[in-house]
Amino acid sequence: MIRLRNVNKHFGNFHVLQDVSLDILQGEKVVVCGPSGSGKSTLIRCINHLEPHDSGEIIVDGLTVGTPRDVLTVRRTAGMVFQNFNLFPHLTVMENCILAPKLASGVSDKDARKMAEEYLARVHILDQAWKYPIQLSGGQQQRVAIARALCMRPTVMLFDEPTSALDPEMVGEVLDVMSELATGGMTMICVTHEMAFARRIADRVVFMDAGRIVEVAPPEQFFTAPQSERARTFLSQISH
Amino acid sequence: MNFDPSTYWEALFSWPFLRGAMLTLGLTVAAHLMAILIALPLAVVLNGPPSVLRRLITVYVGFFRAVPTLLQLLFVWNALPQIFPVFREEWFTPFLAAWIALSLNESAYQVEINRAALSSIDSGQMAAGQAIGLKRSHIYRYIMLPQALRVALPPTMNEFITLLKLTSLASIISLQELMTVTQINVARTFQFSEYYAVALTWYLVMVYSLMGLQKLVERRFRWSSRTEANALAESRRSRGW
Repeated sequence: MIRLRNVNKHFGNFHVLQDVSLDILQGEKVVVCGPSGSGKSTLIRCINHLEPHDSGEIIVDGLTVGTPRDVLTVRRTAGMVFQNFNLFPHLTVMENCILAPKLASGVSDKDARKMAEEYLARVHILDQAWKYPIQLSGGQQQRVAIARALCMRPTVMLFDEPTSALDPEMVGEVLDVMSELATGGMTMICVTHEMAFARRIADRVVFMDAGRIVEVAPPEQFFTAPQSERARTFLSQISH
Repeated sequence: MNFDPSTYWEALFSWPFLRGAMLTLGLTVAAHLMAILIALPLAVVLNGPPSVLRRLITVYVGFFRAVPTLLQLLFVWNALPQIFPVFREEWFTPFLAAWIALSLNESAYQVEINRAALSSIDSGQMAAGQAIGLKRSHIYRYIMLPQALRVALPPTMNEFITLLKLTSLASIISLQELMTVTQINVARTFQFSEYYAVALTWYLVMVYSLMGLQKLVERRFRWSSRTEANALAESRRSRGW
């Protein structure tokens, strides 16, 4: 489904990703964690080509990422949810959801609205569809962002710390929606510090440090018996 | 006091003054529209990564900001025909000359406004547009520009009003705009206060109408305010969005 081979990426002299290789299967849920600056976000931003990688190979659903004529197709295949939601503030919730289907996929207004209603209902926010983003709480905004991404009918969803900017009492509602998505069989790559969530839904945990993948393991094994010293230190620091 | 109201009222709605006011407004609208048309793509380039084109635009902006508007007007009207014979023909009217000069001049200021407005938009907006698979042109058309317009509107309105008054410079190249008509009548009758009052009235009417228009347009930007977004959403909902 997704294949990364020896991917390298620099920001100036800073080597953010160093020879990263990873295979993700259809329907698999992968949680990426690690200290800040370890390259987690850059990794998933490379997968939908928001950040161009310098060398190595990334393949998404048979498409080579970086090929100019496939850029838009790759992005429509991989939906992304951001830390700061990034909803379009000048558009209502409904308009946020139907913009891309109408412009990029040529779906009619009527069909786009019908599909948006379906996904907004799935993230439990259909009753707010006529509102502007500024009228919603952070948790509601993030659920709209998930619906907006789903409206492109992606085959994989990328989550970039989706709950980090939320007030604690709103984390649960977003994680619930993500869990429902996971149960539905969606392929997911999720950068997060929500370890209980990772334990519950992840098939594998990828631990990164200083631009490298240090450890890949099933969650039970990773959280109870991490192999690397670096992962042990990290886990002890976040579980205080 | 020596103010003759009948002269004032007669002149206010007389054809030369009406025509002068229309020329002033027409020239301003035409020049500002052209300036915005020139400035938009330039601002998009300036908002992008460094390039040779970006440096050229910086030189362009600096040049038209540095040269006095009066000199630009005189150059286009007097020097251009000297250099290029095509401009010596009948079609090259004072209106056209003023339009060219003021458009170029204004575009340099408008580029800066548009660039600042675009760069005020959070980078996450561009990323979100890309992530849902939109083309660059669609991202600008449907995401960046509508939001940038909100930021650009007040300074753009300032520019428009400045430009409206700057058109009076075109009296020097014999364009019959509002101030030229005023000067002609004053020179003929020495009734300063009456004719100055007419010009004043027309400038006030034009500027206050524009300010009203600005208020109307700004109502569409209520999505940016936590307290007013609700009113906008409700009104759109009641109209069946």
